[in-house]
Amino acid sequence: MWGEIFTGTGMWNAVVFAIVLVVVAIIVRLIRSTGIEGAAKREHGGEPYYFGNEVPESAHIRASNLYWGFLKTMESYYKPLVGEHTGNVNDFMAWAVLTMAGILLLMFFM
Amino acid sequence: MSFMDQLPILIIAVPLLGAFLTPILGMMSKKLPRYTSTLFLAVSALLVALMAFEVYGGDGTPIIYTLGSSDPTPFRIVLEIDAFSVFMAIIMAGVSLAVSIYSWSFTDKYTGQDKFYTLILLVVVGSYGMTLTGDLFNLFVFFEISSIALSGLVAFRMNRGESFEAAFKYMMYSTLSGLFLLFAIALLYSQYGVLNIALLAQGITADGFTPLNKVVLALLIGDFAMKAGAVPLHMPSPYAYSESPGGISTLFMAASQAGLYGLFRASFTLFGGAISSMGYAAVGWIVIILGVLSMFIGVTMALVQKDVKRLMAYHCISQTGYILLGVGVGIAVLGDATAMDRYGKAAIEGGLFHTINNALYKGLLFLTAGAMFYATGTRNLNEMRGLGHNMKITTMFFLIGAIAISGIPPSNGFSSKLLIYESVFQFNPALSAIAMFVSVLTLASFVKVFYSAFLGPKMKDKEIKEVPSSMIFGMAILVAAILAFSLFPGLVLDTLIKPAVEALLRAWPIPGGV
Repeated sequence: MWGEIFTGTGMWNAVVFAIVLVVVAIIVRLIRSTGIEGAAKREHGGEPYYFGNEVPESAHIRASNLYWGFLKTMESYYKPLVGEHTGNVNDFMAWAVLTMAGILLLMFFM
Repeated sequence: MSFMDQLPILIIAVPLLGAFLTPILGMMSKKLPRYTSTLFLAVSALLVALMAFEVYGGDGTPIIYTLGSSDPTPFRIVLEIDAFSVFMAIIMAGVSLAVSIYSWSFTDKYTGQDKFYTLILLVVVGSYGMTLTGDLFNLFVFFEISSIALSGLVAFRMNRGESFEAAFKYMMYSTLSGLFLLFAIALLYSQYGVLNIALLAQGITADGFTPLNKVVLALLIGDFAMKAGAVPLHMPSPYAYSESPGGISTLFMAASQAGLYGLFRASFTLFGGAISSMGYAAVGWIVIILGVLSMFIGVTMALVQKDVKRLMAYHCISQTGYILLGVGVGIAVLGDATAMDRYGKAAIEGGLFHTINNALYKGLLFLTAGAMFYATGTRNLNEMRGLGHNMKITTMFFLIGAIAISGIPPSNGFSSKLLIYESVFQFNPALSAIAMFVSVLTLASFVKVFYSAFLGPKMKDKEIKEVPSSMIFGMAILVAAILAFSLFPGLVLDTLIKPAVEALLRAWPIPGGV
């Protein structure tokens, strides 16, 4: 079968999954068709609700502010990691030489 | 000799001829180089397809082409082509063609288009040469051609100081990795007096892992990992990817995969005999460690980026980690026939399947990032919003790429990741768990890009329009391939991947049977 792969412990069939997705999409469409016809085309229909006002541009959260909590929690991980990415070519070379030395050590002592 | 016998050298010669002709054609018309270079790339892609039919239709014995002689001999410039070589050439052929068409409109406002397309053709020559050669020194020469041409492309936007800086960083790193490679080749030549990969492999297998051979393999792993952008050798990659104009980031990614080719060729074809006869798992573990570091550090660094191309560059590093993890497990069990049959081959299959999948969806995502820059004039995600209102096709293409890279079923990314998860789990469950966690972070990162750039109110300060049709067409080629690979992973695995894995595990015959 073209859509089937065997992983050694299990199998995966993409075509079956795609058929299931299509069936689910049809069911969703059927449920949606029971709604009020033309609601989205009415005045302000389909627009996000913002207390009756026009949605201001500032309501959109900027990329830098997304996952703020996660990044704040992981600060102790990120601070040294980002700090190592200095952009300085000398540091790049140092990392290359250090890594090469590490690979050599592993090759000899592992 | 028939035309089919000359195919191996024609694959390299056609884009090379194109590279020489493009500046001359550029004198006649500004727009002519873009069409002629695409034609040269299309012809070479066709030649790769013909080669694929010949190699995949054969009995698995590599095709040997000796330059300047009708008899195969290991002491001339030799091309030795098996299914793995063709597999990598197919990736470059497809990606370079899509990038070339995409660049028609993207480079419209730039001068020096003849130089731009010449450099694209030279990158392709370097990558084809690396994947088709049977000679280690030629591999070095093609490695350098590819690296120098890529440096030129990174510096192409000469009005930006950042482009020069990125090109300088990449060039310095490429020079260092080139020196490591040259040093490794010199060490091998001083021991065995030959440069042919098959002959060298025979000598290395007979000698085993002498201290000098360990140094050689360490140098080869290190320098090819630098070319592939594996952590902690990834430092200049985000600069080079983000400063490359438009589709060049995609070409950059495909050319970096030639580094993976070198790494796998060195580990299997060159040193595979010695590794399996001595049951030496250290090599596999080194590749696995590089893979895990690349996966995890790549994706966590991507999460904090606000430059869309830089973010995608870190994802490229992260996806390289998956490939290294899968193939690394295969290298680690080279000396254990039972483990190789149980999960080793599946791990390598997963790694190689992920290589071609990564080229497709990462290539597409870089092209969508180029489209976002084309439409907004910025790469800063903080300055984008609501692009989905006016760029519906790009939005849809981005979603397809994001779903695939995050490994959401039924995408092609899911198929290759599933192979990696399940096979690696049998080797070491912790590594598999890390790989799955990285997929979650990948999804989180692309949700961030989708939300911040495509959703929300329209940008009022800029008039956003959908990108021109040639850019859409370039992206559509990759989308079509992603959809086909997603629906028919079994077909891809059986026809493309499994023969490539068998070729990797098989020793190369010596040209002329010396």
